[in-house]
Amino acid sequence: MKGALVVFFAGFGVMAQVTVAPLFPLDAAVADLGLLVIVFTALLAGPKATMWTVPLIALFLGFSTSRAPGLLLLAYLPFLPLAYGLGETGMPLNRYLRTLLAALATGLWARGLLGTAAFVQGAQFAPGDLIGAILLPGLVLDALLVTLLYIPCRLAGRTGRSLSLRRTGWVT
Amino acid sequence: MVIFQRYTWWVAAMVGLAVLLTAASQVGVLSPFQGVFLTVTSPFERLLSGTFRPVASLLSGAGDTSSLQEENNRLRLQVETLQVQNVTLQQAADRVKDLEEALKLTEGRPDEVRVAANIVHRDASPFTDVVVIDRGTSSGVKVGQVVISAQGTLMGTVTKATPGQAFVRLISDSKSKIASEDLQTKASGVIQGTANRGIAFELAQAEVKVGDNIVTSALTGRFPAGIPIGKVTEVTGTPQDLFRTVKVESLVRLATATTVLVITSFVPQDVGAAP
Repeated sequence: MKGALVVFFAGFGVMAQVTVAPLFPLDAAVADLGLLVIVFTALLAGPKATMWTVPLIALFLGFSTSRAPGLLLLAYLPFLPLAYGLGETGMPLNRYLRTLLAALATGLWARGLLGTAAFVQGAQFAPGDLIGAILLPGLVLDALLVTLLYIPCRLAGRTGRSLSLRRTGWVT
Repeated sequence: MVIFQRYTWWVAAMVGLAVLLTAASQVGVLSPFQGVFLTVTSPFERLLSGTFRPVASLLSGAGDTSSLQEENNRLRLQVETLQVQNVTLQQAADRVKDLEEALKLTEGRPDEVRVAANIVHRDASPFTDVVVIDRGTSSGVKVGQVVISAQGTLMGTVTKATPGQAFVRLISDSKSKIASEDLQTKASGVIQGTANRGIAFELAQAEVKVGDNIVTSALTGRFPAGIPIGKVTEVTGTPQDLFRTVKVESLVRLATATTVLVITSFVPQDVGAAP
């Protein structure tokens, strides 16, 4: 059942990414709904489900677009270790800030990697546009969407699961 | 490093999988699965697009009512002007036809075959503007074929085709480069996509001015000559400058187009490629 839900949400996230996200761009950046599905799978279903969600999102997004699934997998790879690492470093960050920071860093990495790949594949080299029109607006979109979706989860009492592979259950 | 203490095996496995997937997609092993995935998801994608497209239109127009009214008035005047021009051109076309018949000449593309297709979804990741259409190899669509709007404006080229769907790289994609020319001054150049999904006309030391029409050139053999692309909206620099920045606005709204035509009768030739 949990596996079917993971596949469903991954598929839904990818379909929304290629149909809904391009309709609401901010400058040249669009929301990364694939990343959003990964973030909320980690929060609501825990690390093991996220370990399956990441390659599924990459594979489905690779099928839906003309991009290499391997590249997309590398783009989304840092979220889980980063979110876990931020929790273990002892920094005075609550769960929302840890999630937000990990999501923003992964979004930055993903857009940077995909932009660099586009340069390598023949797009005109434009680092100024990459930073000003894609990375910065992308950060704003990611921050906005993570916050907008985190609030209802928080109000519903779902503060998120631990990302440690040793611990299970809800953290209070 | 603390970050990787518990996730080392997973990160390593994913990097290995990424390499494997890259190799598999390079040799085309994933293509059949991709075709099945696109076929299964396209009805749901149509539903999502159909639901959110009106919302996006409403939001983009909500804060812009006065400029929309101005645009509407301007377009009404433009329509009237174009209708008058159309009558004149129709008369000229009839005259040309008569002369061609008299001289035993044939018209430009009388046997052009086009396949109509709907845009299913769009990949708008960084520097990319690719759409997926609901016609593929089973409808005669092949890689390299030219895609135009319903009114005949150039939209892009087919980069990949499965039996039921095809990927079309739009002219606003940063990797898109199209040999083209200024219809008024005959200056040759390259139409290239920009980072913010616009288009620019790259040319060296030539005369070009705002309002000029840009059309495709047959120079590379990849496009039929004379397909309209757009109008010049901004020119910076002087004709003596080695490279000038020329912004072009497509005649079709690439972001909201829903129907396209694929010219299946045109066989692109890569003239510039090595034999």
